Amino acid sequence: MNPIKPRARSERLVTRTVGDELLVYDLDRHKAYCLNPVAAQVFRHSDGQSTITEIVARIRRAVGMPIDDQAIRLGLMRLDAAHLLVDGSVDRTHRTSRREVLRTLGKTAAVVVPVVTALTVPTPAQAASFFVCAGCPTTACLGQPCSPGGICKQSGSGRLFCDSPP
Amino acid sequence: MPMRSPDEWAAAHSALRLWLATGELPPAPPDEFAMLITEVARQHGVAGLLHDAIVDQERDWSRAACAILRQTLQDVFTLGVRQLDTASRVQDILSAAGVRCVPLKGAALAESYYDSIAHRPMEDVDLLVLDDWHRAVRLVKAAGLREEYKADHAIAFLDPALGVAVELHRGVTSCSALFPLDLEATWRRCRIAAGQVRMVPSGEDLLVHLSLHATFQHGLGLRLVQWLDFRRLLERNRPDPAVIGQIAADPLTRRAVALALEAARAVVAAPVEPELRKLIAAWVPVRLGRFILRTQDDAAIVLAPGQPPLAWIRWQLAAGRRWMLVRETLRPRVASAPAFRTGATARALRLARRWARPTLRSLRATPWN
Repeated sequence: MNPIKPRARSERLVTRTVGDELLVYDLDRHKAYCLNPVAAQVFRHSDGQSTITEIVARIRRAVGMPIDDQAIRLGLMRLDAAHLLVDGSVDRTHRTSRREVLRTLGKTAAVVVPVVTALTVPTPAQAASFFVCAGCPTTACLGQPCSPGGICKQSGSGRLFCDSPP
Repeated sequence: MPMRSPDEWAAAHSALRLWLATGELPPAPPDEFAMLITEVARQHGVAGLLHDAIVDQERDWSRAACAILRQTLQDVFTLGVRQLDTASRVQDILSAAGVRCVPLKGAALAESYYDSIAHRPMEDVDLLVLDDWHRAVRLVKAAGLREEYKADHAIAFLDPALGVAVELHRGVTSCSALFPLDLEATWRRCRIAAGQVRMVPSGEDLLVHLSLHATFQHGLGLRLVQWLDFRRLLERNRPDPAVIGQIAADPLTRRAVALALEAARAVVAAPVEPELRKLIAAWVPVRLGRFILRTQDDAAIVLAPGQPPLAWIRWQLAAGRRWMLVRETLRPRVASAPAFRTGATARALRLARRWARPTLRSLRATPWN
């Protein structure tokens, strides 16, 4: 039987490293994830050429810590659940539970357990602070995006827009 | 956040401006001041950039401030990817139907002139339609985007599935007849980009578009990230002054470009090369030149949330064609929909009702002499 060689998706994903974590946006599903350092390593080393054993060895070298292959399997499962791996590149029959991994790893678990966190995509108003617009007579638009010199205007659907001067 | 004095806000603005101009970050500001700088950075759209600068320069900033900056970076990244995907989708829909469009402002800059989408937040994505406007509007509506509101030069749509706002423009600014641009030449100069948005205007076109938007639309009252756009364009593209001269062939457009570049020099030390400086020096009329000299002493004049002397700047920009400014304001030649074909008196009343207050406020900042 051929050993499993996991492959991370490379198409329709936009990634961005922040420190040792990795942000991934899936353009097909419009979902965003934050991969902790171990999950990010699993994602990066899932090249479709390496077996799980080889991936484990590489990640151990990269993070300089003894990482159990159960942890890597858990990471692959989580990446697969988030649709970040190419379909069919992991064995879905062999499931590893988080509890099982934690039991095996003991005290080091907090550091080496791969975590894939789903992110909420914010609205523009949540993604930054905005100035209160100059022209609004009320505080209805407080905190809404508005350009200097513009005024907030409510659309038919109730959404506030910054109306720039005519 | 506790109440802050105007001096504290000014100090935070000043620290950010200095960093953008020189690259130097305060090494370890007291925690409260770090939080204030963080808030100002979020307001001015430079939080992601500040986060990465702190990490790269290994500065010892408060953990709370770093956590907020990190969260903002993450938010701007995820939203930005979604926004650019929507822009790209609309571009594809229009292009498949033979309607050409080019991204404006943030949508054109985020991937090409910044190291990360997380460094260039956008409220919406702007696309300038070069061909049949009404057809473009129909196509976008047919694709499921919902019309939210109209201005004389643009219609804002909302993608209800993703919550992303797209502004479809028929002019770079309102009263766009004041600033005639050769859009065929703009299209010829476009280049294929490697990111999500595949077709972007040349650096020279972008510089002119940004300048018109900054001066005419906002009276030069911009956020720091919008001023940084100029700096990035000049640093990473080195626009050809001769091409800028061709694009800004009209004297009004030239005034806007000169004004915006001089203000960008004052705010974020945008590196305007000597040849370009020589060119634009001849484009600034005397009164606007005096205003620019004031910004060199006090850059806060052209920094949000200050109220820019918008009406005065428009009046000065339009010198020699002021009758057109009045006519275009009261009765835009490029009406976007039947609703806009109201009489000049009705429109004047509507504008007065809506804009009287901001205009009166901006009069306070007007340099009368």
